[in-house]
Amino acid sequence: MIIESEFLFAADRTTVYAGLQDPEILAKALPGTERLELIGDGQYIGEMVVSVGPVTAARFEVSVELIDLVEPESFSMIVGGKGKVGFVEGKADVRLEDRGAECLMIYRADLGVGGKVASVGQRLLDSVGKAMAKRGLKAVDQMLQ
Amino acid sequence: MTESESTESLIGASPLRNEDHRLLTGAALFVDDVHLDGMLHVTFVRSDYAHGHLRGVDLSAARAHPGVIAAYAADDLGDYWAPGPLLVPPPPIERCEFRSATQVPLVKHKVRHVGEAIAMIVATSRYVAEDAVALVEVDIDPLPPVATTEGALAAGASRIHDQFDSNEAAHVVQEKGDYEAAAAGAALRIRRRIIMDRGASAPMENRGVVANWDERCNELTIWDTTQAPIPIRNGLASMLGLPETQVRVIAPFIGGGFGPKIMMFYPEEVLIPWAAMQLKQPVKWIEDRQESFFATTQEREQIHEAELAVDAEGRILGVKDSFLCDTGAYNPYGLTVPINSQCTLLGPYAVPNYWSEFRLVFTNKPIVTPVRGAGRQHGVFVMERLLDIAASELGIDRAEIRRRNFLPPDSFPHDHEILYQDFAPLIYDSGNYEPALDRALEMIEYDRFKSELQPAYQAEGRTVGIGVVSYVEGTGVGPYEGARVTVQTDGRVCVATGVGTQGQGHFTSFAQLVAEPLGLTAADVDVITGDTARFNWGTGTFASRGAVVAGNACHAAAMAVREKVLKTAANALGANEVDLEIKNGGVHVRDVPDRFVSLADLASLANPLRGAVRPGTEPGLEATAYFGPERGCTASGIHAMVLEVDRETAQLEILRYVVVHDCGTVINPMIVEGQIHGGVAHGIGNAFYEQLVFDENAQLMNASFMDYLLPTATDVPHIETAHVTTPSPLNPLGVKGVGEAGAIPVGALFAQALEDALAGDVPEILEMPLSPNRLFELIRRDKDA
Repeated sequence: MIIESEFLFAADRTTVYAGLQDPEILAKALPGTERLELIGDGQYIGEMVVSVGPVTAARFEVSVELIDLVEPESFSMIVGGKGKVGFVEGKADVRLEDRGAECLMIYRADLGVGGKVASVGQRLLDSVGKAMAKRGLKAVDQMLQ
Repeated sequence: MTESESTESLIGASPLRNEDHRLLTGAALFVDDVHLDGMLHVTFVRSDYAHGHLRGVDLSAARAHPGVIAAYAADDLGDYWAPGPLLVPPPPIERCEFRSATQVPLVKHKVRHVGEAIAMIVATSRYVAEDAVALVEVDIDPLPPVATTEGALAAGASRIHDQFDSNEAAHVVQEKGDYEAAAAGAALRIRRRIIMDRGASAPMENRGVVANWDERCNELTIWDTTQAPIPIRNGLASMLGLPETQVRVIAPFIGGGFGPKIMMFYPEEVLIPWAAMQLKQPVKWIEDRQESFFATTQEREQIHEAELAVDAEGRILGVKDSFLCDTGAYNPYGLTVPINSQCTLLGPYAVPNYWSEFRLVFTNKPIVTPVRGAGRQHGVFVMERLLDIAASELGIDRAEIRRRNFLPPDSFPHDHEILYQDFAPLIYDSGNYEPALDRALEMIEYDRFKSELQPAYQAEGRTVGIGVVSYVEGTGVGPYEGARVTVQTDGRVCVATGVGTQGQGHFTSFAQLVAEPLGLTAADVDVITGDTARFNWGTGTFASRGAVVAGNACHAAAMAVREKVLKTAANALGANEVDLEIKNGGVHVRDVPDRFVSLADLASLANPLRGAVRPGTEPGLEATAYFGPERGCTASGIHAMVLEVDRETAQLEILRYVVVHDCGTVINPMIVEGQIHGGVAHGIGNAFYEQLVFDENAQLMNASFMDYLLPTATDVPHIETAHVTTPSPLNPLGVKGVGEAGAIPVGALFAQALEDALAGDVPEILEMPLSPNRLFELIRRDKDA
């Protein structure tokens, strides 16, 4: 599953970049996150609750690792989520373009999904994934104001 | 039959079905109806990954969960852990390389498809077992999966079975004549790439197993949704170290088999009886619909590169075909499916030169074994498509090109000079194709459709097309079946046979075959199938063979009982056997209805008390007979359809559907029609609705009936049927199989009718299944602009 889009932040690039390294703000970018803690160099673990169609309120243990950090232009995230209804794993590439007082985020996530969430929820995953990304980034944007 | 006392034969009649009362009143026993005291329930932990090393399974939390009785991973099975048997070894084809890798009861080292069983939880209820599954920690180190048939042989593809140097499971070449030489002089050579994708068998009843170990009697009873109760009994007895006489397998009423239930020694089938013996308590597992999409075998993924060479009149000079066939993660069923494709491609046609090669490949998808049609669809689709294209190129009518190529009625037996899946040469025993084509064209009003109706539809702005395709079906293969017929002292007759039954109407058609020689009605005969305690020998229900192989055994046993009845009656009535008639539940002297003795009395007389037995007498009016054909018999048929397409929505409506079928002697026309109707419904699913969609990680994306589309009653049209009867010389009754026939040519028919309807507004249809979505993509709209 590829999730690819752009988002315009009402904050400058340096602020956005710094914010996304903060577990509290990063958690906002991932809607449904109940806990996200920094456990090491760019490595986070936590828990998320997500509903995808018939798979409701599924709990995932998530891990996020930020890599290839080029401050303040870009970074990548290795993401993993594992729960009793299946798994999500993959990589997201994030690029930040300087737009003065604003900042344009261009992101592309390539995610593999397995287990029940894939076999009965796949049809909805695309739209759920895109909606979650939008919602998460909006929340981050508000927090950065 | 030597003589028939009845004015109307029961063979060819359609009495009400013996089984329907039980089925319609809910009195029929299905596996899930088995409830035993202290019965435990099983849920399996299954792989979320298509391919990976299994690093560990932690069952400690599951075992500690209240209500969980036991939890097992592969290592807990000890010596019982072993890969399943190769069920069908390859036939002795000269150019055949074959590598076998069979399924394992629980994954030990490597997961090879999503849904593969990793651990088994046994609990006091299914709810508890399901909850405990969530507590199992499975550690899988994922490997790149092989997600497509072609990907299996690509450079750098992951190896699925480390013991082999590639994912090629088999490479087989069969040929007759010299294709290249014949094609060199051809007026036209058509070469196309043709693709067919996977579908599920989707029976109404999923699989299920209940096992009960009776330690005092040292006896294991297993209720199993299998199509092969006797081989399952024999195999499980051997695995569990029990004598066969102490294992009883009951395959009760089963809600549809369609092939995947002839797959034997599934992990669940092997583990549930073992667990019952370990725990000394009855154990039950009923497959849920979602796991059925992974754990029950599937079929149909093949990619063909096929070439047809014809002369200027459209006569076939030869066919060359090279195809890939996906066997999924394991290949317990050997080469049955691709050999069926290879052989059935030849159809009802004279094909003097044939070169056919296939590669069977392992992929990280669920296992492939026969599903209704079992590869025959593919051969038919390829050949029928090539003929349609040749007809169009040469300007020949599509029905006419088939007629020109039919094997003539005097060409039988016809030897195709290659080997069939039953290890016997592909020799058609009999056939008469042109009358079937004529009948189908007449019924569907082919000429009138072309000259009047289609132009009229066009004038109304409607998009309507016609199709007509032909096919053969190898049916009724060996090795053998048997039956025991007993006249009971209440005058009723019992026939026990080893095949299982999954809705085919065996309780009626076998009863007819037994009732006929004994002067009874079908309702007087109780048929017992699928219980190893009642009949000890047999192979199973597959390859459209029940009526042919078990049917002939039932009839032969009844004929032997008839001899005993006449002999006993001659003694009782003081008459000569030749003067006796069997009728109305007894025997009387011809033209003297009063000199009558009932079958009930004869049954008592045949079991004499003290002092009345002559030396050498066998007691009882009972006989056992076996039937094994030297090879399969070839059924055939024509399907024709008038199809309307909505260009805007790509939805279809089938306006007419005609089947003219030749299954030799028809035992029960109603049951034959029922089989055809069911087969056509299945075929419609495979043509326009059903497709298992896997992503690039070999994850199945539509494992529920929300997303996997089955045709419903509103999608299946009224089906008009007619029979042509060309009896098979290979069995005394002259019958041929019909169980798969309806499903086989439907894809080819859809493709032809769609092309006819959309005349030029669709490209050649070289893929199956289609769907409303796919058809919408295919319909060209640029012309409208």
